Amino acid sequence: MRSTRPLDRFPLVHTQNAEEMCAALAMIYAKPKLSLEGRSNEGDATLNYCLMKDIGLGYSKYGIGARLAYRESDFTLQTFPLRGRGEATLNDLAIQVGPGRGMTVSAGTSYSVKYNAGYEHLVLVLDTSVLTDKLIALTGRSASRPLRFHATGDEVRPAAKSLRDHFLFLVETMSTSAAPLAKWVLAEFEQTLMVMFLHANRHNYSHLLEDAPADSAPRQVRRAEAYIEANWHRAVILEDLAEVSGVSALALLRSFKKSRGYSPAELLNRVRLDHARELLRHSDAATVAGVAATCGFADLARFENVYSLAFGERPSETLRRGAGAKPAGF
Amino acid sequence: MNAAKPLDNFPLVRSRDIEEVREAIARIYAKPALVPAPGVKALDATINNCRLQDIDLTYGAFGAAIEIEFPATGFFCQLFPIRGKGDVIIGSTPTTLTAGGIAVVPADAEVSGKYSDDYEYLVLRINARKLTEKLAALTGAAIQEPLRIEPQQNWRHPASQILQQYVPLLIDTLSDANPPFPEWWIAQTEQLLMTLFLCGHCHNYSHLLEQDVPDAAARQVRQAEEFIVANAERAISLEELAEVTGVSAFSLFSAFKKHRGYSPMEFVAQRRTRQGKIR
Repeated sequence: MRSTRPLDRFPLVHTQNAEEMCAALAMIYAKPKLSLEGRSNEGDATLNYCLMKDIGLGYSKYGIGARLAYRESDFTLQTFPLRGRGEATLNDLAIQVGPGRGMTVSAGTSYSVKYNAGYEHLVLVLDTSVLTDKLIALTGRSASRPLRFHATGDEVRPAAKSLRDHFLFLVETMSTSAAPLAKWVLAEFEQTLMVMFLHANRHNYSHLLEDAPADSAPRQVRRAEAYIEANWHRAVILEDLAEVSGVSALALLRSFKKSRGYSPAELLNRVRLDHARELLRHSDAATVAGVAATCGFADLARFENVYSLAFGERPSETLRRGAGAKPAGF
Repeated sequence: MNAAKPLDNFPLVRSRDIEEVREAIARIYAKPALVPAPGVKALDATINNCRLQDIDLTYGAFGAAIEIEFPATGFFCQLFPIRGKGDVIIGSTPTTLTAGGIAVVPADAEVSGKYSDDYEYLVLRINARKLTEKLAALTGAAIQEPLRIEPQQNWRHPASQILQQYVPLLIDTLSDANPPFPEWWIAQTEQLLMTLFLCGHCHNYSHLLEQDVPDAAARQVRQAEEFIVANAERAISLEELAEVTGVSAFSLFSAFKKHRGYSPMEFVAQRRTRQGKIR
């Protein structure tokens, strides 16, 4: 009796050997450190992988208990467990995974997982630079910091369910369709999954997607925004923005207010505050005064004031919490 | 009989009154001629309508036997009957609609028909002008002559099946959703639906969409993989694989890179290590 597994048309490896499994994983994602529990010939590991253009659809099972440790990779991925259970550790966070509870791994994140013998999952692998381009295209704003996703989300949210349903639909279609899909259809599904991925997963640019209605803002506004995103650490004056956007300062101000509801100065402030928060959280040598200066706030008291207003806590509090999350020795 | 219906979160009308139902339909399509069957005094209509941008999806049930006539609306419609029976004439083509069946309505066709009291349906409606723009964008061709989709189609064609399976999935998604949707989400969903619709029907521009058989390359990759697996015990050269698959070594190499992300020889090496270890 040979049951068909998802994506069996795209076999990558079927093996009892851990090294081969590693070699196969390295081909599509990143080479993990893998150890299998029990004797290796007890396992029955399968890895299927369908690479589209910018995304990949994978299926894997190990057949026996397995532990994997991955170093950082360039890919972003989300797992959709089908059976069994597992535990993942990423960013010092322990995550239980199982049917209905997968996880999202950002590019540049190292993580480890432990699966029980019955564990099987589907995985959606996305090219992070293409995903970032998609985000930029959707929001009309540049993304100066790397796209970081929350590791877990609420899977019953309609947006999450919709991503899952669309992903499973594509896996099913690729696994069973009697004829190859037209390239137009494949390309459109890739676009759709990327959009739904950005919608379903919380990330450090979610707020842009929430307040940006599909961008109808005039070009001068988008140019000015791109300039602000690129030059936030310098003194940016309205005249600079007028020059890059090719309209008068007054016209720029008006179209900003009209299409965004806020002024360029307010945006600059917000971008600087976001950067300040990142630095306070993650920089090892940060001080509040240093961060304020780096981010273009000449007046420390004013910085503390606007920061507290924006984030509901004082910069020193962010710094203190960030210190706890940093590796020991700092 | 209050079970949840598709798209209940997008109610258009709930009414027993014929004129009220007519007016409601007129708000989304065009005013139809709607006549109850002899002896029918009142309807028990439920119509839900989810409008995206240039596409909308409708669920409907009239709760009484009726006759209804729609003028042409400038939209292509795909009908998915889910219960009961309808005997309709689309343009000049008579068709019977029953649960699990399907029909397409050309943008310039009138639809008239009689429906049983338990008839329920879903409709996907796409603005013909926008669909034509999408066709032009996909193919890069100038579209002079209007897009024509004949009512008779091969519904068993795999490309058509994908559309037929996708629409219920999308309706499920929409039925669970809390509108309003982000505009960019709507835009992408419409792009996908239009692409599935254009690829899922035979029409006067189908040849433009078929000229580039996309997965010929994937087929060669699969052929090569089968050959590699079958001959894993011996050395295989790229040239040999090219010969087996009937394409040049270079195009096989590119096809592997494109569809698998690694080269054919990497796959050979991997299978060979594996073979060595099992023995």
